[in-house]
Amino acid sequence: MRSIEFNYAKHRQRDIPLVPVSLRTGGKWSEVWAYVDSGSFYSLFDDKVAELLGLDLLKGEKVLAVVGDGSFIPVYLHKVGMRIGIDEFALKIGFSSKLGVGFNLLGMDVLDRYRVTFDNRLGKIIFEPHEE
Amino acid sequence: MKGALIMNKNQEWVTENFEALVSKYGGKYVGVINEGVIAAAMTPKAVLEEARRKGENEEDVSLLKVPTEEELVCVL
Repeated sequence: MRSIEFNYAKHRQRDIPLVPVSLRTGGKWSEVWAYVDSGSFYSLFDDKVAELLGLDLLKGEKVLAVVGDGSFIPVYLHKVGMRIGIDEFALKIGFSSKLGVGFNLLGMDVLDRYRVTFDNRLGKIIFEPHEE
Repeated sequence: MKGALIMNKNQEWVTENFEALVSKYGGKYVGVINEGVIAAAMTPKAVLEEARRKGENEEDVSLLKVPTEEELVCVL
């Protein structure tokens, strides 16, 4: 499987690790950008992405996630198809209306599938799939 | 290992223009296609509906939740 390289987004000379991932629950893929966040156990998307995918948010498996200020938010897990580069797989990701951050988040549930390199000198994030 | 895949032109445009997107569209979703913004709205569904009205294929639209300047300060 081939690795894929993403350029950092830049904001005020700071590197922002944003990557495009494609999601689907039915026939059509939707490409949505997410912040690579190794501090997040689950990948978390806001409830508006659930709506886009035709999911009934509250029908997912409910879990509570701790966010930056120490409070708990309800997260609903749904199984979706995900594509990164040409790598396609299915997994459960979280959706919440209380995300409270400016990004959708790509968490360790996805990052565990790859050797992820943050190459700040080259300005790239490299996803190299683990061999099965 | 085979050569690495790289971002397409549309995706590169998003990373190169991220700061301008934050300034103009912070707090909204934007849809990007052909190296430009095709629509901006509060939900990705509304963005795709607008893109479809403009004759674009939904699957060609890249959807970015654009943070506000304040949200970026919190993250960074």
